[in-house]
Amino acid sequence: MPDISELNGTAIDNVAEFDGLTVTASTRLLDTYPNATFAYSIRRLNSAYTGACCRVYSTGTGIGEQDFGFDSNGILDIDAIVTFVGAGNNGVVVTWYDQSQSGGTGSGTDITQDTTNGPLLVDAGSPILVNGLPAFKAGERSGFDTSWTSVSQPFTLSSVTEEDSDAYLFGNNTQLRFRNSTETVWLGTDIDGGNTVPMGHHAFFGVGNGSSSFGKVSVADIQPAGVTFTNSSALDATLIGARWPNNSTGNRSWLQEFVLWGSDQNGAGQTSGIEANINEEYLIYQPTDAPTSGLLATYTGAEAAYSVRQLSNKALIALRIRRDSDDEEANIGFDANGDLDTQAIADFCQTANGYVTRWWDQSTNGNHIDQALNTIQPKIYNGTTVITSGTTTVRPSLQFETTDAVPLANTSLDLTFASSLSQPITASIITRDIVTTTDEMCWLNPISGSAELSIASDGTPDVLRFYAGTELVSTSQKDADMMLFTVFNTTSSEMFKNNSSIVSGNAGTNSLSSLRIGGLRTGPNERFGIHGNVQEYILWGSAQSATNRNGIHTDTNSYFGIY
Amino acid sequence: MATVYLPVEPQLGMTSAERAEAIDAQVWCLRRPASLQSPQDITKYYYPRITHPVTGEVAIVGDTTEEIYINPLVDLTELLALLPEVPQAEKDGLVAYIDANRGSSVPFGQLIPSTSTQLTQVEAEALGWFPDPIEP
Repeated sequence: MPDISELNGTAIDNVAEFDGLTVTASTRLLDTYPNATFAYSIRRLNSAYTGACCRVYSTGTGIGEQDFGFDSNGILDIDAIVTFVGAGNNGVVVTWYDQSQSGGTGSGTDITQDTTNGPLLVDAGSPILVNGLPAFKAGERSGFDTSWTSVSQPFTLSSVTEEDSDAYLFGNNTQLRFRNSTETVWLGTDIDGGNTVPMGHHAFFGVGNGSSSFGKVSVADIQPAGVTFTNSSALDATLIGARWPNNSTGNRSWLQEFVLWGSDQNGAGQTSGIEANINEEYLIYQPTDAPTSGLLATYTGAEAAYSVRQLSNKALIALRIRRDSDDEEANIGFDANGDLDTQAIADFCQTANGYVTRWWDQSTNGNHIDQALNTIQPKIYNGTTVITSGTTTVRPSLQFETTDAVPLANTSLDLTFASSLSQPITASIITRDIVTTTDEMCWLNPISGSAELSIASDGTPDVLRFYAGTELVSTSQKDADMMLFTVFNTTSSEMFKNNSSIVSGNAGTNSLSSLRIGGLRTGPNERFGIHGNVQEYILWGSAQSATNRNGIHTDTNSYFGIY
Repeated sequence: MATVYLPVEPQLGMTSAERAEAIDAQVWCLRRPASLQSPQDITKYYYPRITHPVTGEVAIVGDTTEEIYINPLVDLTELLALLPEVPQAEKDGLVAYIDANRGSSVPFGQLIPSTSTQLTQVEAEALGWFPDPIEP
């Protein structure tokens, strides 16, 4: 007889599942890619599995252990677990239930660990999360023992884990191992795809199938092509988690998902589908596939594209945010309409403030723009609601603040390009709700050093201007809400405000080596940043034609309702 | 808000910039210790830093009145190792102060060692930390 917590988790999940008005199709991994040998995860993987996710032991006196299921989103019900474990106590995972079979709890081949060595899910009363989702912290403690001895080839192993040091994740023979020393992944052989694999949140996909063995591992900024290699070993499945060798101290890993199929899923052409299913849930990396729809598919060649809306149908992640209650960070994606997933932000931040640590690039170039300094990150959530801009059309906004009195208190996001962007360059910027109209502002600048390219305004007189070696100044003033569209094209440069030309001519020939959105550019020619909000910021490595400019304005204004 | 500029001298084989970055990272660790940090955390530092345009020296730009949360899991080992010029008695006092405030907040100004140069905005300007703005 399952206990009440298990029934609750299952029942809630099934309500959502059978709500035909809101659920269009199952995206559960094993519904689409069935016949797994085993499947352990912090998310529901199989609609035919109705049991619990895991069993948790509380170190609190007399509390004991209990099974826990999934919430309405199909994610391990971590809130219920934290409540059960109790303030100040640790929650130890003693059983991870197999979801590969039809039926309830215990229908599969579950894996276990004792209360002393089991991975932690709650640490001193606080949930352990990776990228905003529950994770089992192993490594320094242990992983799980299994009843498996070995799995013969062919097999396919998919996992979602995080590591910050050398970690052995699977067995002790054909080990799935992340090596900090060489930054490679090993499954019988190195499968780093020619890239080093930095520590972090990893999506691993490996196949053992003789000379058709295959592997790849993706992390935030690296999505390598797969590597084909020869390996004839059976998979040692006796251990899952960093148990080898000898529970080495200092080795940490966080476990979220392990799925094994007794078949070659790569040979069956399922690799990209499985990877996409996993990344859509865990938001590990931004795909760099060329868009086939969205603004960036119509107006191609973007060097960098940041927005609170989905500009490419291939882009999955909009923002990485930090909540200031415990400084956890999580990636935030888009909802079904391509809007910023504001519900995910609210769920993650709850009553804490939320700050943007990364605005993910939606182009294919991986030019994500970051702020590593705690005190100057733009704000996106105020503890109650997502920050927005607009009057008739209200959309989420990144809030930048600045004060001339304390120059380095200016919020900003910074990016250094791998190689300088040469002209022509087109910049399209949606900036709104400017809090003052008299102060100088700067929307485009390098991080430091002499001015290269800039888009700025002056306070007295209140004018807009841009620069690439030669300054062009408009008599037009900045508006509270505006779309600034600037074409840097040496002698044929031009700036538009709300699709009206406001100044043109020779702006100079400078290139752009780095980009600072908001903030103060220090050093010579210092400029202050943005006093207000930014919603979209796109750079193209080309001079957009008049036809394209009109099209971009129409598309953008129809979404943001600026003018 | 009471902005303070803290120039960092080269020490321990590190340049001013390297040591300032390391100290800044350890200030962030007061709030989010390394044992809690994730490899993909973007946030690594507490305060901005500024480079002197002539000398190349780097200063941490802090706020003496800002309340810094002291995480119960904080480990001061690396921070103290970055401060060889601070007398041992003062280090012991800092450890005791932090230990007494684990799980609560303390003003950043209380954490600045007596050996550290502290400049106000006006003093920093006078010493040339900010060049005159040049258009554009």
